[in-house]
Amino acid sequence: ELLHSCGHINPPSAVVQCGSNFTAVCVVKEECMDFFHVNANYIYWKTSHFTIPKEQYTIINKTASSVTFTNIGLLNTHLTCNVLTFGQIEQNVYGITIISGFPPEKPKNLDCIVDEGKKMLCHWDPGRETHLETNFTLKSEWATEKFADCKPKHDAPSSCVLDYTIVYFVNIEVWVEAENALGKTKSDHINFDPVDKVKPSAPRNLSVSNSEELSSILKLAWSNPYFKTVARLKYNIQYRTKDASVWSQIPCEDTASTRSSFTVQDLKPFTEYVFRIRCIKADGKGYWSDWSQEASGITYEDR
Amino acid sequence: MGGCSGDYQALLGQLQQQMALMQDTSTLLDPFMRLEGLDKLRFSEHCTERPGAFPSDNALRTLGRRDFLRMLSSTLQRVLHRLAVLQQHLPETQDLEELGVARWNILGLKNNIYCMSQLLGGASELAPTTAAPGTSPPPTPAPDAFQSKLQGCRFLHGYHRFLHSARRVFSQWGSSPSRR
Amino acid sequence: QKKGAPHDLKCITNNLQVWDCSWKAPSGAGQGTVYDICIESRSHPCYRLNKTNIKIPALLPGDHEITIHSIHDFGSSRSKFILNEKNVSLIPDTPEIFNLSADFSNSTLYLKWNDKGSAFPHHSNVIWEIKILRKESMELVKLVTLNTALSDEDTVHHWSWVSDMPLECVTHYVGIRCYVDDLHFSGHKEWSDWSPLKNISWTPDSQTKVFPQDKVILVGSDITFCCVSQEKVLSAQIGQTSCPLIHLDGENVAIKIHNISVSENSGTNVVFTTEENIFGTVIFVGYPPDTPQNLNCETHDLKEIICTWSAGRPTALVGPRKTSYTLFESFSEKHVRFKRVDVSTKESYQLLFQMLPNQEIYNFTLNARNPLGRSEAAILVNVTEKVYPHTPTAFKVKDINSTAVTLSWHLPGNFAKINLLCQVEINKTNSAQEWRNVTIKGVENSNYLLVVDKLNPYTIYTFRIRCSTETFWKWSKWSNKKQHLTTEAV
Repeated sequence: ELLHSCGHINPPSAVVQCGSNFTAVCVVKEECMDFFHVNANYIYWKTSHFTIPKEQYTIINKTASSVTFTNIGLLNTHLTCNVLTFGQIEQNVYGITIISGFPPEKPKNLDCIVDEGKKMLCHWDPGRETHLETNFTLKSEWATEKFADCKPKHDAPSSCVLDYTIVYFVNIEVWVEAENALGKTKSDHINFDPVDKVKPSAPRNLSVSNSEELSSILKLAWSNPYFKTVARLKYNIQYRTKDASVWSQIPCEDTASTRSSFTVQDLKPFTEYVFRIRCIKADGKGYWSDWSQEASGITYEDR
Repeated sequence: MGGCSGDYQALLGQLQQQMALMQDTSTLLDPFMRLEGLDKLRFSEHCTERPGAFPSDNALRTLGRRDFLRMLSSTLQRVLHRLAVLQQHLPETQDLEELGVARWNILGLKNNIYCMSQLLGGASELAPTTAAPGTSPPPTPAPDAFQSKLQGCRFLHGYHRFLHSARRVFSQWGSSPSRR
Repeated sequence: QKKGAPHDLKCITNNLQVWDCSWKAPSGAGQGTVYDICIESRSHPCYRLNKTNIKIPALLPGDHEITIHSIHDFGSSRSKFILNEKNVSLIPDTPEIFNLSADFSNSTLYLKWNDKGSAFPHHSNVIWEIKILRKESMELVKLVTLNTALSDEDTVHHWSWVSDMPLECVTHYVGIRCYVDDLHFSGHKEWSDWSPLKNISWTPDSQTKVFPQDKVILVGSDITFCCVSQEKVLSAQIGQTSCPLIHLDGENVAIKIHNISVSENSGTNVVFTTEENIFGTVIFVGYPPDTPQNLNCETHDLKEIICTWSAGRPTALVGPRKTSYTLFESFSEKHVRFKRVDVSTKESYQLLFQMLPNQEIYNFTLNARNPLGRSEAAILVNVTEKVYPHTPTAFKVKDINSTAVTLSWHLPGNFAKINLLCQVEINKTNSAQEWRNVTIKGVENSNYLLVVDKLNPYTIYTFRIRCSTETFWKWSKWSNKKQHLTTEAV
């Protein structure tokens, strides 16, 4: 150190809960006291550039003075202990950082999603802003395996992508632990089968073909996502005439099982229709896929 | 550790669905044969399971439930070990992604078998003996490369067949944990 | 020459030192016939014997009269011959292979024989002919001639031959003969007889049936695969391509591949199919390692040298057959071996070499080796001229006064013996950017200070810094930016 400090402050640094009270004690070295011809009365406290009123000071003894803050608000500042020497020159004795904030709240609404073909992502509601550096850890395990902790990335602190291969049909238990300088907590555990958290890939290669025999129908065909080999699917099929903006939907009961084609009926002859389709696990668990790319076709002319 | 599902039907359903996926040769045997240049049409007849490599259909059907679960778990543990050896003999580790997935699926299957054993009240000796996916057995001297390929595909053929047989046994399990 | 007298005198020599002469007995001569052979002007002129051949020391060049007087039951007869070296035939003794061995793993035959040079009077040139036959039908597959020179003593000669056909699948027979091409000998020279054939065959020691096993060869090579089988082989394939069978002995067969193409990572399968079974091997076809490309060595901190390079053309060989790299430094004779974990990306490779005390110049040779060959690249480096410093960290700005500040930063590295060149970027809002270069003495503890003056009071500046060395190689990355408000003028 370039120069020997003239004293110190207790605590050396502080993380304080908002709304609580906080006291710091500054102890000045005897030799400094003598050199500057001062004592505890000469001590005054500053936060950044603001001098704290004397009412908040307490002289503890010849060399020590304390300052007390009540119902602390949001702080992230430097608290300095200073003395006025000789011709009123401000001499800094010591300084500490004070940060205030909140202990982490119990993370809520923990849920996970398996984007088909990708790793599982879990996300949660972290609760109120703590104003402190708060570490979240996503924990996961089977009955027979404990998996590595998942640490969220800085830019997405309330979600985490599990780095290991997801296995369908095996129940996994997941929860979140949150910790900062003011406390530690954890979410409720959720136990689920990842197969029920899948967002399938959107159906692909949607094609439309008309029928010479029947001018009121159009036949759709598409390729299902790979998830079809794992679980049964159901679909939403929507259509509209080319110029319309409102979509009509095929009744769900008609598209409630795995398929790769469908014939839409009762259409107007010689009219261009636009179609789109999406899918989800047949029992409705998990998430709807994105809509497929739209495809259009024209019904045959009426005879 | 995570809790097992206490729902017998759900767990039985999971076991059957797992095995339905894993018995499919497209999950491991087929990609292995492609990687090793063993044309499926030509080599299938020479890629048959070695007798004794896996418990036979009949052996599985005659076991009681707990013994069956015990047999399943120990056989799968052996499979994990063998897959690790197979991995060693593959040219480059990232060449057979399906092998890694298969290893995870086997661990998942063992997990469900453990839970079913707990549910049936006999899980003690099936306590999780985690063979973490990364652990690899001591290297064993490989036979020549072609024999190694043939042995690999015979083993995987047996593995898929074994899962098929085990799944059939599960499909004959009654709807309640107490009945046969 | 009269049939009633000794006739058809012929002499041969095996070693130029002894002549073996023989003649035909007079017609009607019985068992008890005795012959007196007299050589004119010889210190030992006459010999008596009861057979029709005689070994005599070689006669000097020129004509020699020989008289053969046969004495038999019903009388005697006499013949005179003029014997000259010219009429003598030099037929060397039949050579003998005293050792034939094989290294089956690389289909190589090793032959040893003794030239019995001690039997010859002087250093004659010898031509050896070696023949290699295959299969019971004794197909000639190789005929090679070798030239040697006899010396005073018996010399053992070695010769090896790499068979195109794996030795396991067919018996190979080897014979040798010789021709002494003695310049001094004026007589007729002939080849010796062929030596008795020696053979090499493989005794099956395992279920392995197809050869060669797990071989690594160069793309474009020709190669023969063969299969040892008790059952009839119906077909053979390499990869997806069927090949015509070459029948060997018994049910053994072979296939010949020309200009073989590169194999997949798992090698190319070569398979022979019988009614009941398949037998196979794997061939790994690739390239020797390319000369390492863009070899560069630099240091961040004058403690550790980082050499990077790229592999060049892929070799198609992976796993146990992949290219191994060793970085060798000739002054210190130290070396570092590349391990897979060192690589950063699939194409580029990197190795770390700990700097040595008091050594600035490094003569690196990077050796690349795989089963098909080796290559190398070299680079001579003065590391003090190849410093690429780490990014400056812990960058701080402190006031000196309203027009000057102190910059401080941490730059890890053993730079005490060199000068650093650092560049400060000074940004002032709404005005041009400014760069100031400064040379700083390197320090031990990696902490640096720099005064920046001629600033405007009470003005917001943004500073950042980067460093290199006086002998410039590369700038480090920029440090973090630091915004600073200079104090008000007093």
